[in-house]
Amino acid sequence: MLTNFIQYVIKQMNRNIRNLYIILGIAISISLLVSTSILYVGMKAEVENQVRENYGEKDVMIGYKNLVGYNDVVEAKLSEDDIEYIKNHPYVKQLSTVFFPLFNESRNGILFIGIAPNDSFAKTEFKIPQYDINENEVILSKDLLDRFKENNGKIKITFPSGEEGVWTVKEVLEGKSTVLFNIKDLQKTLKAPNKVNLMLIDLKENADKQQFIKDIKSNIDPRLIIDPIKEKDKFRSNLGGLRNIGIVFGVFILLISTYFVQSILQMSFKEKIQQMAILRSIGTSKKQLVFLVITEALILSLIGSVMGSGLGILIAKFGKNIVVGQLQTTILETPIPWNIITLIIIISILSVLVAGLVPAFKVANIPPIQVFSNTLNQEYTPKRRRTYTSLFFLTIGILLTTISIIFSEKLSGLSFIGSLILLLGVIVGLYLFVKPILIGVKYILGSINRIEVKLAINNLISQKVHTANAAIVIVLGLAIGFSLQNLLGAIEKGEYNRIENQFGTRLMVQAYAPMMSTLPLSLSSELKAIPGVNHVSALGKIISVKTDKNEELLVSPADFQSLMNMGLLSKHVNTSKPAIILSKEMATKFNYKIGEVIKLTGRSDQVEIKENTSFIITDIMDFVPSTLHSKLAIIDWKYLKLKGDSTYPRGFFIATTEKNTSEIEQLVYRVISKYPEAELLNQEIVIKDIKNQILRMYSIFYTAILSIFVVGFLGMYNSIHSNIISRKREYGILRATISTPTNLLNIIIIESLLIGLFSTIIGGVLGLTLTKGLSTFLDIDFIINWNVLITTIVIILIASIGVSLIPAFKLKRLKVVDFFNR
Amino acid sequence: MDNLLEVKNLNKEYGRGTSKVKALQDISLTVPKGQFVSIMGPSGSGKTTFLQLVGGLDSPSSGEIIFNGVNLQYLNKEPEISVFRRKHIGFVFQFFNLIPSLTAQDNIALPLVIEGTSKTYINERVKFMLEIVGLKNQVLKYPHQMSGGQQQRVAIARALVRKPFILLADEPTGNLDTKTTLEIMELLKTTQKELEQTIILVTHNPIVSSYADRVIYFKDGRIIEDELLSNNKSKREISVEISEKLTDISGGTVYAN
Ligand SMILES: Nc1ncnc2c1ncn2[C@@H]1O[C@H](COP(=O)(O)OP(=O)(O)OP(=O)(O)O)[C@@H](O)[C@H]1O
Ligand SMILES: [Mg+2]
Repeated sequence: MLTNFIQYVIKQMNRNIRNLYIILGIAISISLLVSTSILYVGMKAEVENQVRENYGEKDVMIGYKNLVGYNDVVEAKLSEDDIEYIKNHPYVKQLSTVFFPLFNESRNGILFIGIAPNDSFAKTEFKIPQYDINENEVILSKDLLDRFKENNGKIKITFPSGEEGVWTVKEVLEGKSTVLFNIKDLQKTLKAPNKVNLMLIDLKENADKQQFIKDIKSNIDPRLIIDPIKEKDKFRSNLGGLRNIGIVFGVFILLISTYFVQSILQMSFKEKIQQMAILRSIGTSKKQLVFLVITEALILSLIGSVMGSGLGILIAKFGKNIVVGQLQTTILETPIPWNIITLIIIISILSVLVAGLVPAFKVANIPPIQVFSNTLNQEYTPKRRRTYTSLFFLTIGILLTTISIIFSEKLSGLSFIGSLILLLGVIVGLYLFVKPILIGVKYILGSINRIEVKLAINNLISQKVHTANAAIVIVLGLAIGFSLQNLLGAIEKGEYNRIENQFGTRLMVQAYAPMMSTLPLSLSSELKAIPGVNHVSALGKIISVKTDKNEELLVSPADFQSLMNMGLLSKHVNTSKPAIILSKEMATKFNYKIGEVIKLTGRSDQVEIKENTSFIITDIMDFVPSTLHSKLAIIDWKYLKLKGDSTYPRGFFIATTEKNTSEIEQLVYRVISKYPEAELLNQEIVIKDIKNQILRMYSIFYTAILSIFVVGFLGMYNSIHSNIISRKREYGILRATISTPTNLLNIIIIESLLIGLFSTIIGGVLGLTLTKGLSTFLDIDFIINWNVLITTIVIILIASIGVSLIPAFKLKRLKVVDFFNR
Repeated sequence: MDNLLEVKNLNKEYGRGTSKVKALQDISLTVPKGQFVSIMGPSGSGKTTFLQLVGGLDSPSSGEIIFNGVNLQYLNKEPEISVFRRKHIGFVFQFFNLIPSLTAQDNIALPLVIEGTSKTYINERVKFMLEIVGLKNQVLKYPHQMSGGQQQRVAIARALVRKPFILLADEPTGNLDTKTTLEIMELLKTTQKELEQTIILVTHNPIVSSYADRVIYFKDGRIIEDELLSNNKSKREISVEISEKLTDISGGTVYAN
């Protein structure tokens, strides 16, 4: 038998189905948060991994550099003291020294690289396992093996500068034209002891890169080129942008989960208010009531948290597999972030407590007289304050949104805040919309002359607070879910467009080791002759030019007409005059604007710009298409004088409208097989890779959106179910007076459908407003994904019928008298 | 006989200005320990208001209510009044107000549990109450598994488990059929006899009133008649008399159930 109060707390919980909902709600919310955070951490690790894979381990390169790269053309080297200084710099985590002699490039295109034994540099930059290259050993690429192999199996290399030596082959590399030496060995052979002309540096986590660069320049040699690896930073900052979206997501998920749990609790307490009233009537003190609520909340949230965390970890594990499988991405396995989980659990317990205490104090403060009266009035009329609050929010929200639309450029943050306030206003005063919208629906459905429809609409209008409560979860879920979905869609589309613009051509023939080797210009017409090829555009080797103001500029010559034909230029360029297209970076650096004229002078082994030729800046682009580089410019190649024109280009873009390039690829292979330096790149694969990377990043958010809809659905079931059950008496009166069981069933289902309709109208409009606000705020396109919107609405309408079926049939089976039993 | 309850010049007004309602006007009466009082009267005559004041749920506009020499006025603040109510007053309502998630025996035990009474006492007392209200075989049933009469028995047992000075019942049979009504009245009569329980009961049903020792008639917030019932007449005769009296009071309206 019941003998103490805690027993009572547990016993009464035991038999309350509502508690199951609460636990489920908490569990789902927590699992959502936990799984999202686990996936997020995993994805972050994956991005970092990608950064390392694609761009190597190094953060900074230091060296002396001329136009084509780091080499020793400039007669300078890093002394041992310099190296020591850099090594001991507090920001430096790891450092690799490289000796990288570059011989007269036209003789051969071989890279000779001296690296320190056991250096991680070798592993990441040359994609080989970490080998310990001893003196007298080399690692070289396959193509060079035959070329240098002696009869005794050893390798004999004669350097362009005349020195020579013999080495044993440690390993053969897949790539082309590369020989790796032990750095000491190479220095000795080339009679350049201790010479280091390139350093690759891994900085510590919190290092200030700019400060580091300053330090090095001022302490060693201002002529040193210190090149932070930009791509890597860009990639990481992509993740940074992603983090913002992640935070927006997290906040939304938290909002929804809290609301979800709160609404379940509130409904639970609404039902329990009667029970608490009875407890008060037999003398339970306020303290005991509060104790009851706290214990209950603790028990529920504890069970929910444990279940939720477990579920979250499982979802993260299996969901990951699904995401990975569906989207062909990878997300790294990461240790479970227990600190985050603990935080989430603490927050959820606190919010459940708060959510529970509010109604407990409400009940505790009900005057006893009301507790004892039989008609403990549960009919809830909204306080005027609530209406005013809602109207206040609505006005401010509309005002802010309007202002931000008028001054959209300057006040982008305002539109987001405005739409959020609008959302708040609608949620708080949702019941205000019930009547106008349902009357509208009634007007539209006017032709349907069924008594049930009329009754259902009247019921919902007369119970507008109930109706609003039932609708709130759907409205919120739809608005947030839809706006997030649209947001992601827009980002994704924008990103895809950007990529397509960058890689407008599908194929590219490249001379391998692009810095050194070239291809004959005649290859252009051979490629053009391949059926299916629409355009071929040659690009020249990068040359260093000087402006009349003595600024050094790196330019790549290209065929402007064919670049235009390929759609790679964003503007039409008049090719009858010398034109130059600058990268944004260069334009900012030297402060050039479109329309200005630059006089250029320059020459290389094979090409020459006539003294002081004037080039008109026709465009400034984020990065220059034919070079895919942000530090370069392109000039129309018509205005160059070639010295021995047969071997000048270093690559050709091949544009084709053919979707499937494999056949063309085969033909291109056949054509270029005559030139050992030539290599075919399929840009399609590059595009696909990048798209996959994007998908990989966003897949996690899709998982989150999906979960929002799942939670929304459960919330919907919960609210519609309790809406129906809490109005049992009302339905009883209907049954007692005019309706048959089937009438009642229909009324309940129609009501639920109407709630769904009402919610989708409001939620859809709110979602669009929120999307607009978010997209202005984050500066992305405002794209409405009609497919998703319509699909969601249909699903919600079907679901709203679905969730009403169980309670509807339950009530249908009841005898009239049972409606009035407690 | 000692007076358990003494009510002096009790007035209760609701609202103010033009909407002022004088729900009770100058009510004075005494109830000795162990008496079974029935209160009757037309709707709006102040019966419920009277019970609420006596039960300490609301405070009078003027006048005094004294229980066993203790003036409720002195207790007229929280939590003292709640503690007094919980210890000394038992309520029974038209709707049984049981906790749906607890069995019959647990519902009865609840007031003792809340008070923190010892386990053995709870066991003993609840068994005793179950026997009194005749639910020995229903101990483990939940409210929804019981009939209305059985639920009201549980409610009565719960109201009496703490041995209150007085049991206040507002239309306890209002929700029951005739047969069950009679059963519940028999039960109340039994508790009055066996536990020496003082009872004040409000009803519209003359048959219910016929079980009482005394019937007080209310009209427009005043007591217009207060009579002891004779032990010699049959319940049937008494209820007919009550019925006629009611008709007189309300000017032709017949009250039943
Ligand atoms: N909280 C209140 N506020 C204002 N007036 C009240 C309140 N409670 C009761 N009244 C008024 O006091 C008068 C007496 O009401 P009371 O409920 O005591 O009548 P009753 O005899 O119990 O009636 P019934 O037989 O219908 O239950 C009525 O006129 C009623 O309208
Ligand atoms: Mg009454």
